Amino acid sequence: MEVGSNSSLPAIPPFAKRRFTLSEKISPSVFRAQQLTKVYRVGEVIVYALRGIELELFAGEFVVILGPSGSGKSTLLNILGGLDTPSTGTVKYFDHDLSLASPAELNAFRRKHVGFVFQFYNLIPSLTALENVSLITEIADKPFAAEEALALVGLSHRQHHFPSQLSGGEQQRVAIARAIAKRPDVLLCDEPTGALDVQTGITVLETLKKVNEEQKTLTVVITHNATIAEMADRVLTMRDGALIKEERNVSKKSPVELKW
Amino acid sequence: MRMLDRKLIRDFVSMKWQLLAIVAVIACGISTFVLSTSTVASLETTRSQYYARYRFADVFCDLKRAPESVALQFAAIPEVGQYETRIDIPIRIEIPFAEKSVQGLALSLPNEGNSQLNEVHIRRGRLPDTSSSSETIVSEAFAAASGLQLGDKIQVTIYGQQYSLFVVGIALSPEFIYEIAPGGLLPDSRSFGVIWLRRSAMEGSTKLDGAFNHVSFLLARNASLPSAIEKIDSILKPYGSLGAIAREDQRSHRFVSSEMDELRNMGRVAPTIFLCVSSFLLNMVLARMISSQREQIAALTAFGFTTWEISRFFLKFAWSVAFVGAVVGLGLGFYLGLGLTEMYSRFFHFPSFTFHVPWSILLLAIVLSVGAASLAVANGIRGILLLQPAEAMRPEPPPRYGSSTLDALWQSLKLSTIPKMVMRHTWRNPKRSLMSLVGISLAVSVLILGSFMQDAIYSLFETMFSQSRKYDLQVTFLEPQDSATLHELYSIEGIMEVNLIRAVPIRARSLHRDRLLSIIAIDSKHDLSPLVDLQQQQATLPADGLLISRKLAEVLELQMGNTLTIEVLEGKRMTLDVQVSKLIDDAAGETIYINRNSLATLMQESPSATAAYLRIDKRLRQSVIRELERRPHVSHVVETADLKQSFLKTIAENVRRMRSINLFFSIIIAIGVIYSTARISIAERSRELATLRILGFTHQEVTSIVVLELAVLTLCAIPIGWAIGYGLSYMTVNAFDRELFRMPFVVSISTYAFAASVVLAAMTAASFLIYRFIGKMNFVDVLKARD
Repeated sequence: MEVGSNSSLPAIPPFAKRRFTLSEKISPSVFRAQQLTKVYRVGEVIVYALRGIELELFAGEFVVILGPSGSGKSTLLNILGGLDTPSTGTVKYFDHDLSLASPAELNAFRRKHVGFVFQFYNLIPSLTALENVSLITEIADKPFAAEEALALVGLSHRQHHFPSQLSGGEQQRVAIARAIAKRPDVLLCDEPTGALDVQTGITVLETLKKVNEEQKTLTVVITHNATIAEMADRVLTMRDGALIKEERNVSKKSPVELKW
Repeated sequence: MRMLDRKLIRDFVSMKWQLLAIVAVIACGISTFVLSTSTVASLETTRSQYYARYRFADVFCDLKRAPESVALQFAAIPEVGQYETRIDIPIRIEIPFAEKSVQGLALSLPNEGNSQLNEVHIRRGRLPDTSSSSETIVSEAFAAASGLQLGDKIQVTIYGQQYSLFVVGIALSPEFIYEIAPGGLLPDSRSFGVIWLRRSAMEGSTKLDGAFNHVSFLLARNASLPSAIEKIDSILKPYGSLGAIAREDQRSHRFVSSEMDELRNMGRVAPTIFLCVSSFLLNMVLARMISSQREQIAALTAFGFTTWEISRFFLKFAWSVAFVGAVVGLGLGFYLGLGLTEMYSRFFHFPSFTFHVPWSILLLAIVLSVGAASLAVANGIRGILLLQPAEAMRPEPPPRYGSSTLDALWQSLKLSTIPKMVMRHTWRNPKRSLMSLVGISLAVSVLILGSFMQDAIYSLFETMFSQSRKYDLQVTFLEPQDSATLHELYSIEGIMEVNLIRAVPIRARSLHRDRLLSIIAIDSKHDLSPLVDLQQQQATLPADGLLISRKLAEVLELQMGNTLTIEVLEGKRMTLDVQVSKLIDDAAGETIYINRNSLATLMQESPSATAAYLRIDKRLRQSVIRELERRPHVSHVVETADLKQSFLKTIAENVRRMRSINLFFSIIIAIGVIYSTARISIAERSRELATLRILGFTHQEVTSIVVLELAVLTLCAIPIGWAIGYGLSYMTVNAFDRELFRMPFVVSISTYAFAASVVLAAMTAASFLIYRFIGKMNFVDVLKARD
């Protein structure tokens, strides 16, 4: 449960107040978050999930947000994706203030602009791979053909299989195909390799890289696996609901070079 | 095809057994509802069409004898539109190939053509020739029961004189939709028949030349019934009128109406309850099924599907189920309705009987089931859509288990882990447990509702025959007999005990309410016909004053100690004021008893008898009946055994059929509910159960968790269901507390036991399914798959 913005917050650690504006403005900022906080009540426990986040994300970037469990990275991702709203602060998608948007507006925002990839794939079990992708292409404005999206993730030969007939990696690639089929402006991935073995994880990451490079889609991956950060343009690190570090990779690694 | 529609179809296939259970439940509710309401509606339509077409009269009057010239006065009554006089005579009919004679009623037809009012519908053959004295037509039911064919010869006895008649026609009449003997309790065409003769053929034998003893009236449009009756009564009073009666009090009409009332209530209360119960269950099961798709719904929301798109999907899902259920139910209801109609046409005699389902009922059935389904969707997804999608996508947070006062109890019981888990789970998910509890209780209650009728009928049978009709024969006389008749009867070999009865036609009046009926006078010693109430308690006849049915007292707004005005409709036509000394809660519902001697005193005559109850030596039955029927003052003899048979054949059969339909449906509902409850319980807890398997619990142990929970709920639900069932049955009985016949309210131990055992059997079967299901469950996959 969300706690009202008037509830007293513990003091924000000083590092959280730094603004991350180091990046060169090669492209317009897609997201701009200011003083984001999020407070939950889980049962009888109050959780301070985000404490004063300041953040800018740009088109075409591949961003990895690192952090241990409970650091608030999923919450941040959910707010960016319009799945959740902040308790205080603002988050803007271009000129649209998501923190002021109604549920219906958030819904439309997700529908038009956001592609999600979840740790547990969230495929509809009663639909085949192709149908899971078509589910989204049906409601999108200028989608790829579902087959094309599956081809992009290298699953053309598996399109008539049901989720239960696919391996975890394949399911996750279907989920990626589903996410990108609508040609989203942002692709948000929550621990996309979390449930996968190394080799499969690498395949999935290659798929994400390919999409990012070919479609110029802002891609945000959250993970607690620091190795993945090596393939990112930019790496943000979170702890206890705050951003504590920002790094820019001078030379990005290709997913096949990654080892964990 | 849209992908969501594809999902819809695949979901249907994967949930086919659960959906089948829901479809069965809703179909049962709809079909009993459609069946009974349509049967009543069809009966009503058929009857009113029959009445209109054959000009069934509005007012009837029996009288002793009036010259035809009196009838001219009727034309002057402005309320009367049309009238027709005739002769009605009780007769005895002997059928050539049957050994016994039966009671009959001969009605006159005009000398030419058909009757103007209460027209006779010729089924086969023709009307008697004009002024023919040897041709007759007989009622179809009677012809069928006695095997009479066109061209057969019958012997009839009219006032002691025998006549031979040829059957030239077989007919129906709107006056005899329900063909029951005057004073009779039940229709029995083997012992009562109606025949029609030309009037000229009847005048001589009945000493009614140029006279009539019955007249029927069709009223003018918008005429006032009470004022018509008043004017008719005042004209006919000097001619021995028994009082004009409205159509509502006409014997057949009244029985048919009462039967329809009974049907309407039996067929409306119980099925409406069925329908409501099944709608409730549909709602409950669907809502839970939908909420178990929480994560899928959340994912769809995350992808940007709107609330409406998601709702529409689930509405389609629920509506399809409800619609299929409704269609199956309608089809089944229609099919069973045809069967029921066939049954009714056996004792309701209509020229044709068409079964139809009124649009309103059709619509109501569909609206109810679809409405329940829509509500289910609202209930099922509202909670999920209200959540932030991010939150909804996470598995439901674990319910807040904490220590409670009850934990102390569990601890003190020293339960092992599994029962403790079951108790906690049941107790800490009150809403879920309550839903299951209510569902199973309702299943128990419909089982009781579906079968208690049998108990009521057995009890009624017991009261009516074993306890209050201890006589073998009832002999009815043409005219009141004096006390010498007692000796005469005892002189017949084989008659062992005689109780005399005096029945007097009266108009009972209390303030502005009145009722035409018979007062029954019996002796203080009346061992052959004890007065027994619905609780099977014997009542004694007060020495003075009246003993009247509680139902009649209610109708006449009388209480014990009040005075009832009795207008005697024969002899000196005295008006008497008699005190009500006692009330009886009896099955017949409309009787007035009095001591025979005190009635004689009141009527200023010596004690007389119009009928007698006889206990006989069964070995001499034939000769006793023959001897009685030989006597000219005997009108007819009725055997109690025949009456028992006709009771079992008509009322009991009717109730038995209704019961078997209700029972069939209630069993399906019970099984459907328990199966669905078990399946939902597994679906909702699959992760938990899989975890337990991984932790090393055996297949049996994991099964026992679900089964134990179901068992706890079922055991709690049984007594609750008994109570609800008792209440619903009581409502049903009260709804048809009618005057002619009253149902006792009895729910026997065996009915309770039956309801419980069906539910327990269903639970056992469900346990087996749960065992199999858990056996097939791939627990590693269940843990992996989050959707």
